[in-house]
Amino acid sequence: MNNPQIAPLLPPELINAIISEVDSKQVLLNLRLTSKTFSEIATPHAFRTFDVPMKSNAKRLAMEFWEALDLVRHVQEVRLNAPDGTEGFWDVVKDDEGNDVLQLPLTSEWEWTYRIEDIKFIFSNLVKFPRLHTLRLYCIEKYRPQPRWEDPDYEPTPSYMLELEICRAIASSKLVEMVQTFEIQHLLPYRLVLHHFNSPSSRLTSLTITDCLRNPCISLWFWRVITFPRLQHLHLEKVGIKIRQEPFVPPHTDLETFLLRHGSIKTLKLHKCLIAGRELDDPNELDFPRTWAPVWESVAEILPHLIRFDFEPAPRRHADENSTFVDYIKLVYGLYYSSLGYHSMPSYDWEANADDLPSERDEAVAWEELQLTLEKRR
Amino acid sequence: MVLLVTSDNEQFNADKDVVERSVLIKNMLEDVGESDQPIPLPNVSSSVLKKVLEYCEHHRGEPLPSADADQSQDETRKRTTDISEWDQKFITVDQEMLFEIILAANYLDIKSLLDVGCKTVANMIKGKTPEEIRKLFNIVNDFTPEEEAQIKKENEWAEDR
Repeated sequence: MNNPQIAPLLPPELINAIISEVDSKQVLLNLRLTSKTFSEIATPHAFRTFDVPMKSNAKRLAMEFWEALDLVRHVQEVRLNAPDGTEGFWDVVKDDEGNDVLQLPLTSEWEWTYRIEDIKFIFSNLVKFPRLHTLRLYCIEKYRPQPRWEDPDYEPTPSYMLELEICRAIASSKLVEMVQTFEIQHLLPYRLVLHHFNSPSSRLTSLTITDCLRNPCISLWFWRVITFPRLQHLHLEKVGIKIRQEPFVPPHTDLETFLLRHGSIKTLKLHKCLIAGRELDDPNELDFPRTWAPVWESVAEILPHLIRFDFEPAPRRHADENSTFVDYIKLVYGLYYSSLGYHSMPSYDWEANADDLPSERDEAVAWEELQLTLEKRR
Repeated sequence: MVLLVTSDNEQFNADKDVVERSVLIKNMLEDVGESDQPIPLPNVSSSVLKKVLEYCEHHRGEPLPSADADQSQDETRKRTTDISEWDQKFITVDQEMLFEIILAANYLDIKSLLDVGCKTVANMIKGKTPEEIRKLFNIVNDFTPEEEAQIKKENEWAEDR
């Protein structure tokens, strides 16, 4: 017996509801090939996200695509997944110390230059997607040299050169009035693009920054100068936040300075973020106090529209009996900041210094109070 | 208790908090107020309503999705295709019944059941070629060879890379 015919049985809006649950682009493209009805329904989903092609013919593909105006109008999101060396965009080789690093293909350096020009060309022309509102740039981090920064005294890594060209292309574009959601991951020249969106006409409502920094602290410039007038959702991951001790004002974090200019925020997510301690002479000495509780207390006042606040790992009232220091405490107090970035404190004797550490329970109480306040607002 | 009458004239008695998982029925009950009158469901057969009530009974008391759910930036992210273990077992039915449940969930406005049904069908398509999808859903290929070639060319612009 044949299976029931889906098309006459289910109306187009329900077939659309089913197709909207498909998360594989290849399956969406296969659905376009099954029949005219399915093609019509699947096409907007299949072309919703444009993945920047990392191929030798990237520019030609993009130019052909831009000619197909009936398809281009479906693109709402542009996504870059930087190649990790497995696609032949660049080579993964061993350095003198045996670490994997990226290298330009020596036999065809001209071709690589050609490819990077193609990618730059695409990013310079994103305004050709008339309905574009989301930009996601996922760069790679694992092949960066240690310490993981691009030192001006050394030759930049291929990935940094690519990122720089992409950021320059965006910075000279007119995306500021189009992009509402912007997500960056491991993008070192992040200042260039954020500066582009720092405008009264910026339509940015959602910003996600994940681990983009030479050291995990976003610069003071970002916290004190940058303003996104319509920002509603802020998500920071693996970002360090410094405490400022200045005359005439109580100690405060850079985050609070930034939030004071962004009262429109409704959602705040801080994942694996930490308040930076100062560099001390003794690398095993902790710089206290730097708890989150005072920040949480101020967040509810600073952000009158805030209805959701996520912090991971969240503090718990009842720590695991088998472990004196659970994730939260170790994250918040287990790292310290210096001019070279963050360092863990593997030799710190947590057990012996237990009495000096703030209680996770107190932190949990402050966390719960904030959640209760936000619950009442929802 | 609420009395429901199906398209094949079968009557079902169910608790109010169970049937009120259906926004359609909830609104009808609010409109008519306290009444012993049966609620006719002309678009739902008895075999399907039995399954729908089983679902509503299991999820009784769970919070209903609010109409003005927070439209955060996450809405643009890819949607999960995870289905709970109980729901998976519940929805393991033949294809005709699966489509009937989706139709009923849509008609009765039970969003969570509609999601489970749609996700289940979406999972069935995973990894399938166009020909396999046609076979699965008994779809007739109505493309000319030229139209098919054009779509293949367009697909090149969007292929995963």
